[in-house]
Formats: sequence, C-alpha cells, structure tokens
Amino acid sequence: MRVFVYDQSFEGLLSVIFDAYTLKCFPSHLCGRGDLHYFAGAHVVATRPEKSGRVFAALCRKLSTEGLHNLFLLWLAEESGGDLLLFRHLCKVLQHGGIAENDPADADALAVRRLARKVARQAEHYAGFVRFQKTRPGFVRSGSDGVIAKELYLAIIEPQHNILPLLQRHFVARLGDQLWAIYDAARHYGLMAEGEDVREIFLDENILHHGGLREELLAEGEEFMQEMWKSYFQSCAVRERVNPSLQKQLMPQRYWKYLTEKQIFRAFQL
Amino acid sequence: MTEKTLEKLKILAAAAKYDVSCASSGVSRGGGGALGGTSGWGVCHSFADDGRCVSLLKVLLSNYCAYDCAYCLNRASNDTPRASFEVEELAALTIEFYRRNYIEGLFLSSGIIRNADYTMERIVSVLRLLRETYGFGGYIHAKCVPGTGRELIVQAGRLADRLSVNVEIPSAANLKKLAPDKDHQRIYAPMRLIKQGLEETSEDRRRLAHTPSFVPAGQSTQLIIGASDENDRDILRLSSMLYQRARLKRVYYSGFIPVNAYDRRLPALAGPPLRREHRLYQADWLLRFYHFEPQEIADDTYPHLDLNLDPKSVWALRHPEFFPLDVNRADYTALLRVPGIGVRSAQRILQARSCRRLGDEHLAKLGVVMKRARFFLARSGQSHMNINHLGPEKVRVLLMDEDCPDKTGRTERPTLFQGNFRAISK
Repeated sequence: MRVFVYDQSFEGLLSVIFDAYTLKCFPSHLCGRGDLHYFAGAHVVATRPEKSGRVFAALCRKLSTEGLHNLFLLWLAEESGGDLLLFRHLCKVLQHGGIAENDPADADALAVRRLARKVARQAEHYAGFVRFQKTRPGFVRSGSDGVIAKELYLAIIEPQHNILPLLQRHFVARLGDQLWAIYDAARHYGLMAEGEDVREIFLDENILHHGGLREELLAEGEEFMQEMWKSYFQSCAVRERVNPSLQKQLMPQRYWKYLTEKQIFRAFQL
Repeated sequence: MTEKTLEKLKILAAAAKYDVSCASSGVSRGGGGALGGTSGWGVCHSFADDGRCVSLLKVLLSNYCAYDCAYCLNRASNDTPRASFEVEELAALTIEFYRRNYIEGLFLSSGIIRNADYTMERIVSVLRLLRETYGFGGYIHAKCVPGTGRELIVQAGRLADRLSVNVEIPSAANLKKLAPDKDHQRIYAPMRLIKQGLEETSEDRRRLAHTPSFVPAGQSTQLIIGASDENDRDILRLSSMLYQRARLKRVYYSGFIPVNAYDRRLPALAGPPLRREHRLYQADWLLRFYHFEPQEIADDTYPHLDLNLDPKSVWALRHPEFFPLDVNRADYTALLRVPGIGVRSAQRILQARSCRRLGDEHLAKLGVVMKRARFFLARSGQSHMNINHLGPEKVRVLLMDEDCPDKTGRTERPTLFQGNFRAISK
C-alpha cells in the first residue's frame, strides 16, 4: 500500500501526479495532512506551482474541452475518494492521450463522466431551485459601518456538491441590476454580487431558520409576494393529472427545505 | 400590488393551466447590467403537483372570452369566475417573480376580448412595457390569437422569444364543429406570417450587421388529443407537416380533459388519455430526432399507435429484416432505429468504437438499454436471442414484460377509453 500525503488542493493533486511520475511510484491511497492514517512510510507531496503547472499544461494538450471542464466539476464534487479517482484517470490520460476519456472499457473514465454529470446536473437544478428573499433595508453593511441602501436578495442553499462557483455566471448574467447573494449553508460561505462585482461572504447563521431567513429580516411586502407565488403554484396544477411521485422524481425532496412554494406551515395570515 | 391582484392571479393562472407548453429554451442572452437573461437550454424552476415543469409565469391576460369553444373552460357560455389583469399590474408581477428566481419569464395568452386584434394589442402592450420600460431580458412566450393581422404579428415578434398559434383540433371539420368561432384559415394565416417573418429576418441577417431579432426561439403549437375523432396517423401527418412546411420548433400534445362534461359534442372520458399522449410524444421524438417519417410510425394499415409498446419498438417488430445490426459497423441513422439506443448512446457508440471493438459488456456502460436492444443486435454466441430467431410475436411479449409503466406513473385502461370513444363518436 503506497500512500501519498498532500494538502488537498487542486494544485496539490497535480503535484501528486508530478511526484508519482518522478518517483515512478503510483499511490494506492491519498491522504490529507490532518488525516489519521498518517503512515510512517508515506510520501509527503510538496505543492509547487512549477510541478502543477507542468502537469496542467500537459493535460491541456491531451484533454478535450469537455474533459477539462470535467476536471473542474469533479473537483467541486467533494466526494470522498474523488481525488484518487481523478488521479488514476489523469494518469491514464497522460499515458494514452485523450482517447482514454471515452474508453468504454475503463471503469475510471466512466466514473469520472458519471460524477461530472451528477455535479453539472445539480448545478442546473439549483439554477432553477434557488429562491431569493428580499431583505429589509440596512440588512447589508459594508466595510466599517456604512449601510448599503439597496435591498439584498438573499438565497440559501444546502447542496451536496460545491456548486456555487458554477452558479455564479448564470446569475450574474441575469440579475445585473440587483444586489443578490447566494449562501451555501452546508459549506458556510456565499457569493454576493452587484453587477459584475462578485465577493465572497460569510453569514451569522443565527439569522436562518427552516425555509430561509427569519421573518423580521424580510423586506416589507416580501411575505405577500411569497404568498402570491405559493398561490400561483397551487393554481397552475391540473387536478385531473395530479402525480406526486412524478413531482418528487423531478424535484427531489432534498431541495424542498428552501423552496418558497413548499413552505406550507409559514402561510401568511392576512 | 394588493389582495385583488392575488385573487386575479389565482383565477387567471387556473384558466391558463391547460396549455401544456412550458419550454424556455432556444435562445441565449444576458449580461450587461440589465435584468433578465435566458440560457439556451431552458430552466425548470419548480414542478407542480401534477409533475409538470413550472418555468414561466403562465397566465391569461383576461379570461373573459367572446368565443364559445366546446373544449375550453373559459368559453363564453360557462359560468366561471372572470378576471383581467391591468397591463401595468401584470408586468410588475412578472418582474417581482423574476427577481426572486421563481420564473424564467412570462407565458402570456388571453381570452378573446372584443376581437382578435384588440386582444393582441393588449398582449403586445404588456410585452412592450416589460421589454422597453422595464428593460426585461427574460424569456417571453406570447400566444397569437387566431386571426391576428400582420402588423401585430410583427410587433409581437420583435418583443417575444417565442410565439404560438394553437391549432387545438387537428382537422378542419372537427374544429368547425367544436369551435364555431374559429377556422383553419384564421389559425394558419398568423402561423404563416410568423414563418415569413422568421425567413425575412434570417435573410436580412446575411446582408445587414444589425437585424432586430424576430421570435428567436421559433414558434410552437398545441393539439388537443382525444376531444375529436382524428386517429394517430392524421395527427402525426399534421405534426410532420407543421415541422417541415411551417418550420415549427415544437408541437405539443394535450390529452383532453373533459372540463365541460355537459357538452354532447365531446366524448365522455373516464380521464385524460395520458397513455396516448405519452405515445404521441414518443412518436414526435422519432420525427424530430430519429429520422423517422410519419408513415413509418402510423399508416393506413395501423392508423393507431400501440398503447402498450413504444412506437420505435413497434416499428422494429414490423421490420425484422432490418435486424440484427452490428454495432461496430452500422451507421448513425441505423443505430437510431434500434430500440434501447437513443441519440446520446448512438453518439457514444460512434465515439467509443473508434478506440476499441465493442462487445456486450461495453454497450450497457455507454447507456444502451440492453434489455430492449438485445433482440436487435448481432451478438457473438447469442444468435438464438435475436428477433429473426425468436420471431416478432415472441419478442413483442418479452418487450412488453420489460416495458416500464409510462412516465405519468399511472396505470390506465386504454381499451376502455377507446371503447367509450367509439360509442360516442358514432
């Protein structure tokens, strides 16, 4: 059993590949620095830009555009064992060229495609399932203590994969004139954007409760607008065709937590 | 926005729900600090309790209607709650929904207020307010009412992403019977105008640097299935004509829901013909993506689709001489004819066989559904399993065992429905 220890960054993984080829020794396990399985004989990989740069340049030559994008998706998957899968796959690509990407006999190539598709699909889902809530004025403060006058449209998500970077371009392109933020409550970071200007943000998670933000933080009229949406959602279904299993299949329940239209118990009292 | 808007929204959303189109695909735009963009593949924002995608805010501008179509909930003689949006009110609502990412844009239709042109003018004024005053760049699908004139079609086409004129009833005679205020002439005329506009725009684009866009996502239509006695052959022939001659992007099929059970011109159905609708969509896919001709799916000998088996399998069973096929040699169009091989898996086969010879163990990994495809492929040592050895009858039974319940997830009794139908229409 050969173990390589690295810093679990993407550049780190590329450096692992570099070291593997230099030492002519291919690891069967990859560990992080803080991992419990820290073996005496393990090789510790130093992350160096000159190593990772060379590997990346080679990959750029050999992989198709789709293949390169898949690397990015796989990295965002944050699945356990994903780094080792990627390592094995990339070694094959370096050896056999881009043809290894589509080899149907290769279980790793297949697993890479599957996982990449899973991440991409989740990002597509979230492009639709993100629900912004308008916050009351003064919710956002900039730098020292200047209050930003614009109201923030804030959405909370809890995705399995780290899909926030994939959503950025989608929302920047369509919400150009409003201040918006999407917060990943599973990874405790978010993106806030105004026009093309995107920043990383952190929230005090006490302001959240089931279904989104606490009511006292919402802008005036926000709850009524949510009520409108819920009514629309109810009215547009055809009674003769009701099919809950199909609904769950197309919109899995793990997404419902922050979907406005699925927050029945918070129904607005008029 | 007040309580009154909420009431209107409930009425006008419920009145628009029988239109099945929900697509928001076919056009990409966005950026530049404005509100609204579209992404080429369309986005589903939610799924309603009936499992249909919610992509656009689908409402009627008004459900007051001068027409009296037998199949429609909003017909003039029905006593249902009526409402109309103000132009400003609907535009503001669309923007508010869009900002919260509830929707991808607006799908606007309307009952006939006074006459066709007046109705269309109202629809165009909502579109203009959204595009020009609000600078809204999201997706807009607008309905053209039958009989709309050229001037209004051009105006609507400049503002909307997609326009549609609903054919509703496939044959002219049945349309006359069920919708006395409409006729095919008044439906196909606006459709032709949209087609002309599209052709002129694409021609201008070749010569001029800046051509204003015209219906960039193309036009679509809807056919109601089961409200009149056309068979599947007639319907598919019509669809194919609409795709080829009128250059439509989509034809939607809407299983008839008996909303006006009292009207004796309509068949009495136990429920909407969901299975038939599903088979028609499968046949439609064969026309659009699988290089099938309509007469290959349903002809004079077999005018109805087989409700128990998908149309591609049915075709394959009727043409055993085409099989077995060798996946390592067959060309793309031939691969598409194999049940269990789709567009994606056919493309993957082409890609994969350039790096090795494909065997059974590879096909499943490429996404081929082997439980269907196995009867139609040449496989070493498995010749006793192919269609020519077993015979179409036996394969049919085996395929039916494998045929999963259709997407609607319901078990229907199609024979019962057909029986009812004949009894009524004669």
